[in-house]
Amino acid sequence: MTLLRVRSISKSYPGVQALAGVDLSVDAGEVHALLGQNGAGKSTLMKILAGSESPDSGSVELDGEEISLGSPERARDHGFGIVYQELSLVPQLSIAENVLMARWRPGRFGRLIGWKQTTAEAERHLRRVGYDTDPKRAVSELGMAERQLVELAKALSTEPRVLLLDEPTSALSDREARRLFEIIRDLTEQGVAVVYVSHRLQELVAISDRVSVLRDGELVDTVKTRDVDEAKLARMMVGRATTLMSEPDAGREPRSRGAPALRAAGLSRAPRLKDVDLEVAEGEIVTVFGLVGAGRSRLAKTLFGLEPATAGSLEIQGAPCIVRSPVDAIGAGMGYVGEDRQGGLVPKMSVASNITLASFGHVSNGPLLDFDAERAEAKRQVEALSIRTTSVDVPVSTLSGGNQQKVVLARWSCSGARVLVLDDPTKGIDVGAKEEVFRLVRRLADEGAAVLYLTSEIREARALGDRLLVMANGTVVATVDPQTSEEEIMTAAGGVARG
Amino acid sequence: MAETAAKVSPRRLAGLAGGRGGAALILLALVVFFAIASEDFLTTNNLLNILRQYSVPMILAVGQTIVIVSRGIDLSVASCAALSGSVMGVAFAHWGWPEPLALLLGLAAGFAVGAFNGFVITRWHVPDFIATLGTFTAVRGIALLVTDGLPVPDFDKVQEGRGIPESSSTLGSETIGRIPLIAVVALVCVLIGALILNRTRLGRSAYAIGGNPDAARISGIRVERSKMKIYILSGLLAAVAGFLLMGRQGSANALMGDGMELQSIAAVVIGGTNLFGGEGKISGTVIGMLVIGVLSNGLAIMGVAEFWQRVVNGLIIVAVVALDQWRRRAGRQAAA
Repeated sequence: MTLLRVRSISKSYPGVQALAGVDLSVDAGEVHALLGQNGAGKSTLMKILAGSESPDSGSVELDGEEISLGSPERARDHGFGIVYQELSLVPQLSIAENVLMARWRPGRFGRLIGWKQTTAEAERHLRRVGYDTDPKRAVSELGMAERQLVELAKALSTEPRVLLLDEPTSALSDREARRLFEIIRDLTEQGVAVVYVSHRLQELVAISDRVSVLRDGELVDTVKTRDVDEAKLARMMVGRATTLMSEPDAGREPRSRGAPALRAAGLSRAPRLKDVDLEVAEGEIVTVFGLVGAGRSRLAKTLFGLEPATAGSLEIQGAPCIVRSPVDAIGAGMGYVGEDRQGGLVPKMSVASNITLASFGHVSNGPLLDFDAERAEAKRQVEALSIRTTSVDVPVSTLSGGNQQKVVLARWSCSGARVLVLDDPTKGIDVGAKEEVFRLVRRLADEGAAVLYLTSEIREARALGDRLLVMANGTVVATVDPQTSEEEIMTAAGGVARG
Repeated sequence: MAETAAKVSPRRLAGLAGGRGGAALILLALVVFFAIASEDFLTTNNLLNILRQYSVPMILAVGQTIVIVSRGIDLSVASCAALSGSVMGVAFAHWGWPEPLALLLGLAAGFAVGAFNGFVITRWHVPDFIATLGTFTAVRGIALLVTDGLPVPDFDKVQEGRGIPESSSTLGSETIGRIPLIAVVALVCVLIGALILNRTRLGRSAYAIGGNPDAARISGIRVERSKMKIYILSGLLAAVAGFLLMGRQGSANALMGDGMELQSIAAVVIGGTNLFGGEGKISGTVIGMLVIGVLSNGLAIMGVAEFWQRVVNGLIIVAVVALDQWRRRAGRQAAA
């Protein structure tokens, strides 16, 4: 039975047609996945359903009746609940206060907040998502996965009939994601309709009943999930055939290993990073796979001096090296891309300035910056890395996610870095852009860079690496051939790790 | 048709009117208004008067712009100007130091205040606002200690034949042709400030730190060192301002320049610089300072009581920033 029907919704922003006459129908008790590249219109559609944006034209029907969703409050009253990609919790407040945000229950004294009643009700919603904890704890004490559960309990506290989930697993480990799926199934059994946005194809195939694919603001098609596979979905998304990074490229020539470019021995940062030994040669890609909490990001940050090591030694290009800050690391020829691309870019600065940010020396004329040299250097990088931008002078925030990440890579190509530490650089970018980043990483390695690529996606680790390190509990627990089966790698990563 | 007009025009208006463009439009409107309202406004004498009066706060606003672009704020600039001017005056008139040494000591005082701000902010992690709020008060106190709370030169302490340093009275109060030298010095400071902000590594670092401190650090920018330099620059510019203030008034005192820190911040914000860092231009600040100057001067000429001038001055700051926020919102919606 159709619960939610969206009829030819359109929305345009100056210069962009975000949605062009999109139709969508979602049944009660269904998990309906929305799939599309960045900029395809998924987020806009979600925002419209959540009431935070109004469509230019088109209508939304619930139970066959046309409704108007002018504001988040109105949408909530109509039975829409949303879990946003960026968590919307107030860390200083307690779990209970967050769950019932702005709907705190009255107590015995009329308009004053009744904390006992509020806590009790919050506890009830938390139980629904299977999260057993003291609701009086501050959200700031919680990890990302726990926060996600609080966020979900918050959305459920309004008893939604349609639950909108925007990339709910981006902060979760596989195990936590599975827990989330169980909760989603429980909800659909109670007749809740779930609209689910994610980039992770594997996950969509596992959880959804139907998939609607959007491309450039238009609906490509809505298909039953059991009739398609991941490759088909990926094709629908990009509109062309694409190789999925599912298996290691068997035909690829093994890289000849050059001189060791990065070598760490006993690298530690108490208490979470313990005794890491690793070596990356020139022209080699070493991938590091670890579940959330395994210490991947911490290793990357320690290598780059963002969180200086407390013990151990580091050799870069054969020379012993003490890295206390990124300045030291860059000086030794290292470059770093973090998992949060927002963290690496200055959004309002131009593409050119972002590219040259770590190489003032190359674009200066005496004490003054040379704008012509800067622009020329930036243009060279934009071309070499095929960054799609209208000009190098536009703010970098106007670029798509994948192209923003390429700008960060271009920065290190520009600075002449020989050792690249890449921490989940494809997180949150779409399949097409991911592939381009992979190609780029391979090319940088072919040109002689030593690449340490850290990821929480097992497929990426297998597909990209010449060697694969598995991390758990803050240390490297295994070094394996990338051809090793996923199950075996996962066992190494999960056997010791506690999620 | 009517609907389209209603949708497009406010946004377009906001785009035109926001930021620097907004300040320029308001400046133009104020000039036209006062020119019509009073025949005394658009006279060479009066315009030169505005220049003379607002050169010192303009110099403070140059440093303030760079500080705010780097996501800081410097509430101590006016206090620092008073201290530096007082130190120069005391060293020259009371202690009988040679003029260059006295001036250098005053500059050193400005340097020290800036360095102290920078140190407290980067090493002790005190928020910029609080750190400079502290020096705002403490530095005035030091200036009072240095001068004993009396104007410099003071009758009882002045050395034979000494007054305020000659260079300061020349630059602070004389003219070439009809142009006040004080305005020329301010122009030089503006140009130097613009050069630093636009064309040097320090300026670029200021934008990067203000725009995203994490990205700046990851890119190998020495964030702490850059902030230190920026506060020192602000302190040095304040010393120059104090030097000119002394020359303009013919004496120095510990309480001079009162309220100029707020004027400088207002000029920066009116000029379209984002109070949260990452974007802004010295040229915008110049326009912002002219808005403040023209408004105060025009109201005074029209005989508006000083109390009302304060009210209007305050409201115009709020109005300009509200306009700017409106423009930003329109821009964000367009980008989303």
